[in-house]
Amino acid sequence: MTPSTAAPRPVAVAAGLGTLLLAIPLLALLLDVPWIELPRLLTSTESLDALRVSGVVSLVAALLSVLLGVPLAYILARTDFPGRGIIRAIVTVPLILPPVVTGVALLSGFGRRGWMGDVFGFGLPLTTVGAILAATIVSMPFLILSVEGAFRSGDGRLEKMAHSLGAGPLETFWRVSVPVVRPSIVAGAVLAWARALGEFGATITFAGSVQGVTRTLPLEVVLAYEQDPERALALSVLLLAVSLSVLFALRDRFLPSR
Amino acid sequence: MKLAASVPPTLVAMGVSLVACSSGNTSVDVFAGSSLTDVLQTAETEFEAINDGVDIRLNLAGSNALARQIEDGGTAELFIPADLTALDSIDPDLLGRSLPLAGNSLVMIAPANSAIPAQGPSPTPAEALAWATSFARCASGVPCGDAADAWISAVADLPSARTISIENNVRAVLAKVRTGEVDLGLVYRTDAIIAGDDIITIELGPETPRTLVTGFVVISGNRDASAAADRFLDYLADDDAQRLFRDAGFGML
Amino acid sequence: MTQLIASKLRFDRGDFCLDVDFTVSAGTSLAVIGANGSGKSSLIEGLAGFLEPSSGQITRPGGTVGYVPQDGLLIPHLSVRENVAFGKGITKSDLVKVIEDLRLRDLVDRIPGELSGGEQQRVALARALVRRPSLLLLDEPLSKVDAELRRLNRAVIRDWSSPRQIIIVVTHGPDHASECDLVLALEDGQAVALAPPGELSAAPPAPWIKQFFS
Repeated sequence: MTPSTAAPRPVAVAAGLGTLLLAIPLLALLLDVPWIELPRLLTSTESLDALRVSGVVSLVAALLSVLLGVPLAYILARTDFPGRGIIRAIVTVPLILPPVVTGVALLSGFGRRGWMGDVFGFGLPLTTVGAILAATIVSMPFLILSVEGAFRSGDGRLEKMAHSLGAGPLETFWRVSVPVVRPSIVAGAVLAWARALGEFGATITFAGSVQGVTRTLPLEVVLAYEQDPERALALSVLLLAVSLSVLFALRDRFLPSR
Repeated sequence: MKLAASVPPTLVAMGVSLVACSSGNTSVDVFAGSSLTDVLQTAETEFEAINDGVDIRLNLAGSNALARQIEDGGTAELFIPADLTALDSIDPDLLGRSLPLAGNSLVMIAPANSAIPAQGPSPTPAEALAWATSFARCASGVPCGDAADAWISAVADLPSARTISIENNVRAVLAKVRTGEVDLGLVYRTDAIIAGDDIITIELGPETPRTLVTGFVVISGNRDASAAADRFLDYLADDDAQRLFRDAGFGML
Repeated sequence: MTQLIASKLRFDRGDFCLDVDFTVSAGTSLAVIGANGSGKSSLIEGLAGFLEPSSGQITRPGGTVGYVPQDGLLIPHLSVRENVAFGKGITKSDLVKVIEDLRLRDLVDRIPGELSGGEQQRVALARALVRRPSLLLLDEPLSKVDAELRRLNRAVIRDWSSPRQIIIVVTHGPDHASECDLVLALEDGQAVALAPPGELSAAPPAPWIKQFFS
């Protein structure tokens, strides 16, 4: 079968409907945004606080995802041990688990009345650390999937060569394995960061909505929608712009130019 | 070719089944504040049992968000906000007949085994506020948040350093206190009753903010549905349903 | 231990099986010849420790092993200099000399992706030689290098070899094989001959060996 230029009519209709479904709300959002008011709306104290919290939370979450996710991806891709399947399930399930459930689980684990509270007498809800934790858990799977695939596509010969040249396991990991998958680490980190930036359910459930502490941009959007819908629109268009930038930055990965 | 030809009939069949599904019954879309969740779910079951062919469909969320949905063309036949403050977000021309249904009031709650230092037999709101390090409340703009604003501005000065979590609806405040993640919350009395032994209730005293649950028929083009919505509103104001409100802890009018 | 002993080695790759059993003593160079798919690369990979034998045992001489795979297997993000110097046991003077000898001086700051196939092979060769290995394993190390440079590079290999070094080289070139002490001829995974090149070319045990030397 050679690809034909003319798609069957039902296919073309369905594809057109699909495009409209995705395009209409985004276009409508852009038309609704009070553009002239945008600078004022985005520089209100609440908006700036949310921007700051979102910046810190998403960047630290992406960093943690890299620091913990790259070793995890390596272990999952290159080693074989009993229980590896279980570990993979644990670290990737937040991809499909409703974030609210992740939030409830976080309360059980790191809440004041959860395990952490029982052991240490305090919990992480209502703290920035808690918001970072929620964002990290939901975003790390994106990095792991991206990097694990890259580790898996290497056959280990390069590492064997490094080893035969006298490099120890840690030097081989740092100087050979990790740099080889660097493009996937970068792409995975950007994806993880974008996911962390958009995180809502686990954050509001676990970390709450404390201005300047845990209230990230998405939480601020939902809150602003109750009080000042124009501000909700302004913040929404800001998040949309960030998402489009991510897509643009990673276009070679998602939008093959063929 | 065979595959392509078989697609359109499937689509047609789906269309037919959708039409078949929505005919026969009269659906009444009721948009109600989340504090009314339990009462309306029971009322729905009882009303449908005695009104054959009427399907009550509840949409439960923050009252202001619902008002905005109606304003934006959401197909509601009946709108029951937790308080009249929610009407700020809706064009009054969209609303028809109304009946007051129940009253509610705000209380302070704390997790069950909170050791709040108190002079008297039970802690006062001021003592609780002095003790707590974290506090949850509804956002300004939703009825329970407006009520909380009213009380805070009248009585209490919250230290600005305190960790305050702002929630979008009263049930989220309840959950935060119930799970012990925050020390104090301001919720409706009816929510405090739902949480039972999980929490302790602190009365706000003479300055207690009160709210009024009122049902509004939304003016829509669908005559059958509007008539059924009228009947459901009357039912809610009637003795049987009023007993449900009372049992849930709503105040009488 | 100064010998290389491949004792009843078997590499089983499903549809293909390689069986060899030989000993190479210190100071010996061995050329491995055979058609594509006869098992030459599998043998070298096995001797280098990159391929686990399904049975049998390999005893390597003490000291380091230098392995030059066909594709070079350079570390892609490191410069030529970093690739050659990677790992342990290299002296500064050897590094300078090997880069000079293999004419890599103009390439030292490039990364492998910027090199031709022949240049990559020379870098991989430099990386192996600079370690002064007691066992040098070469898998068609100069196949992509042009003829003149190839002769020159063979001289470099000789120049760098120590009296006790064992060299195993997979080659398609009769002149390269003729320079070795011994030739191992492989056919469908079986060794059909192990003899000095003069002996083999004088009385080839198979028509393809005769053709190889002609």
